[in-house]
Amino acid sequence: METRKLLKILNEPYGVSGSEDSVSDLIQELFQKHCDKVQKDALGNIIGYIPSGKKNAKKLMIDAHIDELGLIITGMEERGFLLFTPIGGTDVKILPGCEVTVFGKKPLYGVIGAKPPHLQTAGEDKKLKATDMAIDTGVLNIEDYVRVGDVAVYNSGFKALTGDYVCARAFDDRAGIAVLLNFLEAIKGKALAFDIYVCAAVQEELGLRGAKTAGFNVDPDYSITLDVTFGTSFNSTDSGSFELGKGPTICMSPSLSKELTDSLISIAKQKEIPFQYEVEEGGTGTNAWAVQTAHSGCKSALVSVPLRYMHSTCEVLNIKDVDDATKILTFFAEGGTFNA
Amino acid sequence: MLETLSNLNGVSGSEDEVRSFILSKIKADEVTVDVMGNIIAFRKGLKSHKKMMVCAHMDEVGFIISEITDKGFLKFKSVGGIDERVLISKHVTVGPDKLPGVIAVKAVHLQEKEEREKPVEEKDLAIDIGAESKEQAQKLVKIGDYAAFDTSYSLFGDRFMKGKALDDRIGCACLLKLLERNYDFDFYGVFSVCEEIGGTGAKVAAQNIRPDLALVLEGTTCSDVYKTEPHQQVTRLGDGVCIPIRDRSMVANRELVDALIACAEKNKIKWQYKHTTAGGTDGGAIHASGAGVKCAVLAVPTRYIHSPVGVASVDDYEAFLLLTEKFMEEVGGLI
Repeated sequence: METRKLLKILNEPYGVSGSEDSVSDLIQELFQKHCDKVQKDALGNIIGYIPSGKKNAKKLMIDAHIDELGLIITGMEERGFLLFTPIGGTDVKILPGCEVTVFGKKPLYGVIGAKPPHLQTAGEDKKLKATDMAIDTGVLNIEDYVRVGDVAVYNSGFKALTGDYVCARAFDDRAGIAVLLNFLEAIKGKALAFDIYVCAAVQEELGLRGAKTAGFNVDPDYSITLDVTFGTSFNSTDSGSFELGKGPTICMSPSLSKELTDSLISIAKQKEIPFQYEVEEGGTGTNAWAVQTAHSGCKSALVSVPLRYMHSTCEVLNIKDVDDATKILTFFAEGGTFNA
Repeated sequence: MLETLSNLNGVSGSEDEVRSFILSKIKADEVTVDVMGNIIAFRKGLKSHKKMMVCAHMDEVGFIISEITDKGFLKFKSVGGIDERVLISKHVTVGPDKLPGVIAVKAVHLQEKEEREKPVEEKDLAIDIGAESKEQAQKLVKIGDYAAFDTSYSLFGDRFMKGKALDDRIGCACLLKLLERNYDFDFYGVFSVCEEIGGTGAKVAAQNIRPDLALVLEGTTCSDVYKTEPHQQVTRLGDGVCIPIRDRSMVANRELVDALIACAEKNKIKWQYKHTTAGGTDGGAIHASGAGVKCAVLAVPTRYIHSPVGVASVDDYEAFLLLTEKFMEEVGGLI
């Protein structure tokens, strides 16, 4: 599928960490088009299998996460105000004025409101706290529609910016899922060097939980995690951020396999696919950390799409980086220079 | 009508789109656009030539592009009073072609502890339109272009509406309705510019018209939200149309205020006072124009005013429409 269209479709369903069903249903359907076998495990991970047909083939697991940030309802006030706490690493400063959908008995529109600044008493600082905000649903008998524990998610869907730049609320990590799906399409009918397991993992934002059980289940020899990394912007230009449109990053870290990482790098170089070096000194904060120690352990690598404004309602990426990540992955799965 | 008006862009100083739409819909004996850009619609009096001016402003709060950075990001300044705390991570459209853009936010992971807690100041923000370079951005956007919040109007909840620029497209929609007929007196409907930056449009319009009486139609603040004490609630959504006594810019004419209240009571229209004196309206410029003008304000309470999403009550809006209509039938006696 055209990447732009795929990114749009993938940002339509909601999947707040722990409540991923609507997005995992879509992924299951899309995996089924390409995989010999698709299963949903106890936590909700969707795992697809494509055999290489080779005897004693090694197992390669490729994962990306489907969950996204959101809010969980913690209480309600009269006149339709819902109290909440964020799920996942949220910058609460972005919340006032955000439009959300609350998944109660039916989806309800809401806007996040905070006390206006001119009503703050002297000495009250302007520091914003989630506990000072509420979702305004305008539903007067809100208790008939929403229960404590229901979730809400930002409304911002896919939006095209200039050229190859696009914006959405959940490119972290639907961008990785897009790479995974385009990869599945690209390897169709091709000779594979590995038995391939693709995994759309749940609950990454809560601590890599889905990837841990999926990794245990698959018990791969090699794993490649597809995630997003920080994109440079006018306000984040430090060395830990990467330019958009210059290719995905391939991460070097003591927690990742040098052998596997070097192989990805040499494929990218050989095929003249743009990429950027990313260095992490320890864990990578991604599913690669969980998968490499699952079951009997495996060699892991990490490929990331640079993303501006991560964990906001307006994450921005460049489509070329998604496509380049897909190419690297595809050449690798076909054998490349790697001696599996 | 209100939906279309709310979705149009008209940041103070660039009201063109709103003006064109209103000009296409307006019905009056004579319509002019003055040097400031105000629309003056005239309905000739059936019995007298005393002048009544009703004013609603076309402009909305937003942004003006002040700089294009080396990497093609757009620095901006807020036009009108916007709480800078609501800006980050919001969607905007830029320039006459409405290029989609977002107000950039540093990823929370990259923020130092004190950055995480401190509101981001406007000077540290920029709009990202996905330009590859300064050169590309310069082809798409010019310094001095305007940007507006990218929000769609809709109804939600139990008879509430949400959208941007409800302040004061609500007033514009009402004024268009009032202009559908002639009254006993000369009636001047003014769709003003630049209310949000100090009422320069209304000032000139009033000086040219020299009205005997003026009524300003507005969206007003409403802070009946979570964690505000009852005494801090300027207005409450659903409690009816607001009849302010005074605000920062004007003491409303008491005779007019009493007549408005009496009219509301007589017609059983729900109304409420404004419980603080915060905010200002075009009334500030109009009442002190020329040799002075008897002036009052009618307003629809709007939560989260001057933010990406305002919220108002359909019932309050209907009360506002009805009270203005009834009042226009009676006001002739006061001029």
